[in-house]
Amino acid sequence: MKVRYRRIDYLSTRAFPGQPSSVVYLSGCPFSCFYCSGGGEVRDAEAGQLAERLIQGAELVDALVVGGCEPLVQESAIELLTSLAGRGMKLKVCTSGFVPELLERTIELNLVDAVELYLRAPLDTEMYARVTGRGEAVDRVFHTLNLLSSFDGVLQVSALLAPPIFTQEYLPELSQVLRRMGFDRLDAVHWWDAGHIPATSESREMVRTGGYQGEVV
Amino acid sequence: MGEAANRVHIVKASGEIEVFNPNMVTSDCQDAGIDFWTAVEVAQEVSKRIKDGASTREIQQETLRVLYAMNPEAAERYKRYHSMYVRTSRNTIEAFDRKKIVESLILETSLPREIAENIAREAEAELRRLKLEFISAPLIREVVNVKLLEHGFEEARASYTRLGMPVYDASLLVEGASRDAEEVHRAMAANVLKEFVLLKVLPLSLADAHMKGDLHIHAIEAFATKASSCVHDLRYYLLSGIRGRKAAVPPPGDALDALLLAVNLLRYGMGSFSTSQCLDYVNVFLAPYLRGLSDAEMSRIARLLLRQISQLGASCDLWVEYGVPRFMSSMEAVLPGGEMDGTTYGEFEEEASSFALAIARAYASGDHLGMPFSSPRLCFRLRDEHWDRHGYSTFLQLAHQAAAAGAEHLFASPRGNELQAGTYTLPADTAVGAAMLQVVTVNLPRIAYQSGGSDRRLFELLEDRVRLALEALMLKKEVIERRVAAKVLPLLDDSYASTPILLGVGYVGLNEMLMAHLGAELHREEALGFARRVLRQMYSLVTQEGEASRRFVLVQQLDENPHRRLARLDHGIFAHRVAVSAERRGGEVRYTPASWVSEDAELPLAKRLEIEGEFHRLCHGGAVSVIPLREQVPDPVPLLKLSRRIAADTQLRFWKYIREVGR
Repeated sequence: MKVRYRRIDYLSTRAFPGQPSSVVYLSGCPFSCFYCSGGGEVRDAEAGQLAERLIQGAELVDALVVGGCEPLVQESAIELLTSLAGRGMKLKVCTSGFVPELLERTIELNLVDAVELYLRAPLDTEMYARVTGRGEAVDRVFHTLNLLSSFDGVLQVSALLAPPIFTQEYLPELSQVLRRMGFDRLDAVHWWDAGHIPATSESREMVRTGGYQGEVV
Repeated sequence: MGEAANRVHIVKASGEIEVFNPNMVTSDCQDAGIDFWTAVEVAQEVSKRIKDGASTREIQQETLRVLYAMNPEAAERYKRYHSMYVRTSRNTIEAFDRKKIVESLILETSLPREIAENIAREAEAELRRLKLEFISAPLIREVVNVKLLEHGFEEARASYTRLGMPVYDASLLVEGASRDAEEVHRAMAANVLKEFVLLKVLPLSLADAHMKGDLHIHAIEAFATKASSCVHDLRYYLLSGIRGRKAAVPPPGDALDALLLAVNLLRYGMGSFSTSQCLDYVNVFLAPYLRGLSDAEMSRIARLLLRQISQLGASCDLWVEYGVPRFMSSMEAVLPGGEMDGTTYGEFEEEASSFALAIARAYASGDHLGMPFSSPRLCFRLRDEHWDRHGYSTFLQLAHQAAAAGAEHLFASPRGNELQAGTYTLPADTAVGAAMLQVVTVNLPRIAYQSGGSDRRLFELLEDRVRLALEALMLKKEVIERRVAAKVLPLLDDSYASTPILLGVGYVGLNEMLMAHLGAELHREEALGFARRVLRQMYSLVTQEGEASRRFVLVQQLDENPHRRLARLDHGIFAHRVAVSAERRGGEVRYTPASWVSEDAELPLAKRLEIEGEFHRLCHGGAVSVIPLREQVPDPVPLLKLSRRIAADTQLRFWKYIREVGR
C-alpha cells in the first residue's frame, strides 16, 4: 500500500523523549485549523519501501517517529508501522485523536513504544469547532484518551496552543480533566514550535511579527 | 666670537630647526622666475634683516618686502608664485615646492632625476592652472600619478600612489552605529593594509587571482604583517614565562598567575595572529597549579579564565579534556615557578577533571549577567578512554546543554593515533602546538565553469589554481620568516624554529563544481567518485610540497565566508551557469562550503556525515561539519547520545551543532 508523506527529518532531539530520532511526516488531516495551510508538496511511496528508507537512514539515531497532522487517517500507516516495528529502533506514532480505531489496532498489535496525542483545543465541542472546524472531534478525542489511559508504553499528551483561541489560560482546566482520566502529565507547545504544521502565510507573518506570543509550558 | 655664534637658525613649517642658508632665498626667487643677480642681491639683504628663530613664512615675507623695494614687478611674480600652499601629510601648511615632488619621485619610484623633474614640472603646471590657493598632498599625488600614467610609467604609479579609502566609505564607517571606535580604527587600518598587500606585496598574478575570485586569500589585510592562527603549547610559556619587547611575564607561581599568563599570552598573540588563537589541553596544563584548591576556588578560576578571555575581543578556542588523555599521562609536567622535577601530568588527573568540569559549569552559567559567552569557544574531545571516568557524562552533558541552548561548542573525535592540536591534525610524535601561517582557498565551481565539461581541462585548471595558491603560501612563508628575523612577531620570534608550521590550501563549492561539471550533486553516487578524484588530486599536489616541520595541508576554512564572496564574483561573470549551481537564499548567492553536502539534500544524517567525514581525513589543517538543529529548544540528552554515535560510527574529526529554527 502507498503511504502519502510530506517530508522526512533525519534528526530530531524532541520527537522521541530522550532519544535522537528521525521523523516522517505523513500527509492528511481531518481538521482545517485556522492557522494551517493544509498544503505543501505530498509524495507517496510503498509503505515497505518507505520503512526501509527510514531504517537505512537511521544509523545515528535510536528512534523513529511517524508523525504529521494525523498519520492514522491513512490505513497504510499501519503497514508502515508494522514494517518499522521490531527492527531494533524505538517507534512512536503521533495522533490528533481523530482516528481511535486505527490507534487501537496499533496498540493491540504492539507496534509502537510511544504515542503522542496532540490536543488541538480544550475538550469542548465549541472550542474544537473554533480551532479545527470539527466540533464533533471531541468525542473521538475522548475515545482516544480512554484508549491511551491503559497504554503501557511512553505516553505524551500535548496541548497544541493556538492563540488567540487556545491559550495557556485553558491549561489548568484541561489538566484537571486529564487528571480525572488518570493522566499525570500535560505538555504544551505552540503550533509553530510543533514542527509539522504547514502555516498559512497570514499566520506565519503573525508569528514573525510577534502577533502570537506566549511562553511554552 | 666663533662662526657658530653668527649662525641664524630658522624654524621650518614642519617645526624642524635648521641653520639659515641665503642660497634658499636665492633659489626661492629663481623658482619664481627672478633673474640670478637680483635673487642674490635680495638674499644678501634678507640675510641681514632676519633674526634667529624666524619662520620660513617670515623669511618669505621679508623677501617680498625687499623685492618690492628693489623691483615691484619681480615682487609681484614672487608673490604669485608663492601664493600656492600645500596642506602636507605631516599636518603642516607649507608653500608649494616642486623640488619636493622630484625628491619623493626619486625616493619612492627609483625614476631617474631627469624624468622625475620633467614629471614634477608638468604636475606643477597642471596644479597652477587650477588657480587654487591651497592644495593637499593627496591632490598633488593624484596629479603626479596622472602624469606618470600619461608617460607610461605604470609601475612607478603603483609605487607612488596613496593607500586609503574614499571619504564616503570612511563616513559610513565612522557614522555607522554598529561599530565602536576601536572597530572603526581597525577597519580603516585593514583597508589600507589590504590595498598595500594587493599593490605592493603580492605579484600581479596573485593579486588578480584574489580580486577576480579564482582564489580567496584569507585575512589578506594581514598578509604582510601577521600569521593566521595558532595553537599555543602552553607548557612553553608556563616554563619560561612570556618574554617579549612589550610584555614580560615570569613563570607563574600559582593558579591565578597561571590564568593571567594564559590570558596575556592570548592578548600578546593578537599582535602575531590575525584570525584565531587556541589554548589546547588547557585544563591539563593548568592542573599542577590547581592542586589543593577547593571546588569553590577552582570554579572561581574557571569563571575568571572565561571572563578574562571574553574581554579580549579576539577569536579564541579553549580545548578542554576530561582529565589527562592517555598519551599525555607520562609527559613531564611544568610545575609552579617553572619547575620540572619528573612529575608527570598523569599525577594531576583529579585536578584536570575537576577543572574541566568547573570550566563547563562556568560556561553554562554564562557571564556575570547570565548572558552566553561569545568568546572563547569551548571545544571538547570525545575519547573512548574517558567513558569509565567518574563525572565524564556530567561533563559532556553540560557541554551539550550549552550547545542545545545555542553555544557554538566544537566537538571532536581523534581517530587512530592522530594527534589533534586544536583543529589541526598532526603526526603523533609532534608537539601539541602549531601555527598556521596562511590559508588560501581555491574556487572550485569556477574551474568547472571554465573547463567546459572536459575532465582533462578541469584537472589541468585545478592543478594551476592549487599551484597558484601554493605560490601565495610560499610568499607568505618568506614574509613571515623576514618578520621573524626582524623580531617583530611576538610569540613566533623565539619559537618559530621549533613550532610545527602549517600552510593551508582551502577549497569551496565542491558540490557546485560537481553540479556544473556532471549535473549531479555531491551526495549522488555518480558524483561522489569524481569528488574523491578532485580532493585526492588536491591533497597530492598540496602535500608533496614542504617538509616535516613546514607542512602544506588541505583545510576547510570558513572565516570571511569565502563561499559567499566567490559565489558573488562568479555570479557576475558566469551568471547563466551559477544560476543553476549556487544556492540562492534571500537574494544572495553562495556556494556550499568546502566539501559539505548541500543542506537541501534529502539525505539521512548518517549518509551526510559519512560523505563529509571521508574528506575530513584529508584536511589536516582542519575540517568541521555542521549539524543543524531545527527545533526551538533542542533536548541536550539526545544530542549527547548523537555525539557519542558520531564519535563511534563515523569518520568525522570535528563537528558542531547550530540552531536553525524555521527551516
